[in-house]
Amino acid sequence: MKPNPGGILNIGDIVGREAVVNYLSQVLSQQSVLLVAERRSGKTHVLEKFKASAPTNWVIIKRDIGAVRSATEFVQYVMADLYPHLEAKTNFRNWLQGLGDQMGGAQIGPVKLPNFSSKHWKQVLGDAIAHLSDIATVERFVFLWDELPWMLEIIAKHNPQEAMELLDALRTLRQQHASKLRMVFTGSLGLHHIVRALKVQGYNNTPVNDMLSVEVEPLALADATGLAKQLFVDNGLQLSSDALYAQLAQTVDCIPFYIHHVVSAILKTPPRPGQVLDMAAVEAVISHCIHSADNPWDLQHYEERTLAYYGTQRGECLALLDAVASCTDSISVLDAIKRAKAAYPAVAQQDWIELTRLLERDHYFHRNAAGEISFKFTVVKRWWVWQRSLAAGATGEVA
Amino acid sequence: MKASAKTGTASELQIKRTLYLSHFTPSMMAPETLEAMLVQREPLLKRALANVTDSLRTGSRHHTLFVGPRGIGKTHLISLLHHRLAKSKEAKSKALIVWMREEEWGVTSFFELVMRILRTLDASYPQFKINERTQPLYDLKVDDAAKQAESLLLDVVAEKCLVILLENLDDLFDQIGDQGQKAWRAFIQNHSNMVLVCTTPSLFAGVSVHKSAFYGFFDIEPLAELEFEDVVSLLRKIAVERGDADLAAFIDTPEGRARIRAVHHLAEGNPRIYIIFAQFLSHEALDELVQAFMHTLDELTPYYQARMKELPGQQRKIAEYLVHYRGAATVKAIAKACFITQQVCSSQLKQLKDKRYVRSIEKGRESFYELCEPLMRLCMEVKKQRGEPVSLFVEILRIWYTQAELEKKISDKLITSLLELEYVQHALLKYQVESTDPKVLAVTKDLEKVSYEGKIPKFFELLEELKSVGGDINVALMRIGFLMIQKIGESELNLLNSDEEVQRLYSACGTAFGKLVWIAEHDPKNSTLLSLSIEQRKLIGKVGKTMNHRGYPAEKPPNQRQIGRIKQLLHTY
Repeated sequence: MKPNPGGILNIGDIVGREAVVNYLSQVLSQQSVLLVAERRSGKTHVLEKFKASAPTNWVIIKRDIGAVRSATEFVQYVMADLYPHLEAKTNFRNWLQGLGDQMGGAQIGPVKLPNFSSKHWKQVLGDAIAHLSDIATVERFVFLWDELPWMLEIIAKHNPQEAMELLDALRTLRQQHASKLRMVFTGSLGLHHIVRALKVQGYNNTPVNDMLSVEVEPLALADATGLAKQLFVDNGLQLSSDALYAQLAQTVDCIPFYIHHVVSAILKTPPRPGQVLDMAAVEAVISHCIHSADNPWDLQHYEERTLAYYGTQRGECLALLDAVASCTDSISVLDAIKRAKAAYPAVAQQDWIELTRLLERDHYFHRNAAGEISFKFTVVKRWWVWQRSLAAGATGEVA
Repeated sequence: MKASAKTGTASELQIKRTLYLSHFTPSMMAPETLEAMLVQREPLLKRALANVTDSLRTGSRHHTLFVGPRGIGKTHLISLLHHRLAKSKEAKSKALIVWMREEEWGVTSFFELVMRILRTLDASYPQFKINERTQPLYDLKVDDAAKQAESLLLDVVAEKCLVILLENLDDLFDQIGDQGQKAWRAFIQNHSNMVLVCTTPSLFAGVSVHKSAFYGFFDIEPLAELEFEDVVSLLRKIAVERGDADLAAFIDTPEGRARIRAVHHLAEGNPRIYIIFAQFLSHEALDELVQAFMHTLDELTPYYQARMKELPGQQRKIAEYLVHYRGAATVKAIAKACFITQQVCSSQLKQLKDKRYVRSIEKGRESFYELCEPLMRLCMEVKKQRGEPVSLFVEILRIWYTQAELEKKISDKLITSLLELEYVQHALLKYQVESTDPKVLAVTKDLEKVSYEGKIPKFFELLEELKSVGGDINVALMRIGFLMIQKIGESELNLLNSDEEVQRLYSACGTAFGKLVWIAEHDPKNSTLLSLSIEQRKLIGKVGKTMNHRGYPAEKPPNQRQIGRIKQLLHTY
């Protein structure tokens, strides 16, 4: 396997995702899913692997809809994606013919759609999905819609009402076709941010409360270690001991993107043939990625996005993050709040607790079984401490 | 050997091949020439080729982005990649290759990009009759045409992989905007049949910022500046390609290397400057060099002027300061020169960095800023000179020709134009005004560097270069001796003593030291001695007295006991 940070991997090269893929299958047997994770954590690869290993009587339709600009365009893609599965059905063909003239209709891939501009997109979408019941041999139709939040963001920019209606329409369809239809929403941007923005404009619904949120976690340590070792060995590199592969994996939080990135960077200034590398060589690459002005992993993003995510609460948010980053180990929520409160004494305790919860949801914090919090990603923590000139090393106790 | 006399006899000239070296469009050069002129980048090229090949063989898709300032050799790499792919049977059978050249831009959406890809494909693969098939699209509404164009592209590519070689991705991203980028990414994700190999002068938000569609999408391959040895190799290859054996041989002499080293210090590793430089090495008339150089700067100047105009006042002031400063400056120095606070300066520099005008170099806790592109400084300098000769060019003349050679050009009436005369006169004038030879300066600078790094064999090579350009090796040895002894601890020193080269160094240092002690006694106003610092002169006086070196014969090297004594004393002081 060659390192491929950010590229598309061969299915066989997607390692350590069996558990989440199996879990996804189990959940989708029952309900639809919101697949969440930070960018570059492997969501798309999980979807690809799921698609390749789904039960044979399931139809999986995967599409990146990040550039779709209207609900009508979205419906066109849904119809184009359904077409290969329904074209043999007379009912569907008749319905399609009755929908409008072929002239002036969109062509998506090999599918020529009728021009249905005279009809409302919601009606067309509902009717198209209704034809799924014509196929008795298929147990589930699963739409994997990647970058759905981007699509909603684009639509909402010009027509927030349409974005709201689309979210509601999709929820209605899930309820109407609960036995056969499943949806997986995922994307680079959290859907909750879009919904929150829509709520500001008067939206009152909870459009995804029927979907289960499934998080794509980093790899298990054993898988991440295996991936690191495979990438090293396959590319003629070697670490001085097997334990170092695990150390590498741990240092980059077992995130495959970073592991690929580190190996790729080492290959750019390769060691002499036969030279065995030590952890210092690996750490030098990681340290450069975290601390250099080039900022190749754009860790700055974790600080910058607090402005958009937390708005007027940004100050408190940074204070809380600083408090947790300054601790070597995990810290109890109350102690973290106590530290942050020093800068913002007037903020109510309940607001701090809510803020902690939001930071956990946005992948900053991880809460352990004892209810203590720490940075979810050590890479982010290292950058945070460095960027904000914090003295990391304090214990979790507050005097 | 004189650089200006390397063109040889008429019969020799006949066997020299005509070599077309394009300054801007390596894509117009013969692939064989490009292959022959490749230095330093072979591993990078192999890696990029392997990534494309791996993408064709497996389901993986590797996307590569070459990053480096203008003139660094990005187009050269892309041209060679295209050439090697075009020769590969595997690539021919499994891929369609599209080379989108930098002059092709003018697209404002993903749809227009698809149309441009189709047009480029049509030129290389007429069997698909793409032009004919795109005609009906012009009768459709834009949205429908866009979808149909994508369908056509999918149909043409079919089961193959579309390898797109694309230059100036940053410009393209600027033009197609966020929506275009998202549409492109969606196309790649949905069909998984595209491999991108792109270039950009520097990293930009569209690929490096977390919220961008293409964040983390590319394997970034930065193109480093050429190292000195790469430059020597490049110029030698050009000479060999041209059949100029004399020049190739001269390049390897200490004098040739010293001259190239001095140019290297000016050109800052930018290959485009060397390509221009290489073309006049064997020219009898300097005029051609002057014209070639000015032509290059002329062509680039409007581009850089436009970039300067885009900047708000304070940022422009900072950029102009860096043009003038010629090097990396601290925030403090920049702020002071521009009459702004350090805080404002830092914020403006950050924006300039984001816009890819400047880059920062971290040294310890301090950041130094310099212009990203050396060519920008040169072009701006041309404008600043207002008709005066470009100082860098005058410097290059001073590097490549000795004072005597330049004087001879005038006396032998070898000058063919007024412009050439003007430059030669300025170079001569500078010889008179400035006593320090730029070649000597360049070699001395590198001598200090290698001695700090403990590269002893390199040190002696450089000493030969210094000798060849008339530099004072006594002073050099003295300085290096100090540096070596200051830097290396006693335990390391003992280890190094087993090295024959180190023994030579100490012997040479000892000889130089002995000479300086002798000079201090007999000729205290000697220029060599005066070029040293007061502390160094005092030390020589003290050591001389202690060692009782009165009347020490200059040519006789000191014995082991004396060397040991020098080391001991230097440590004491």
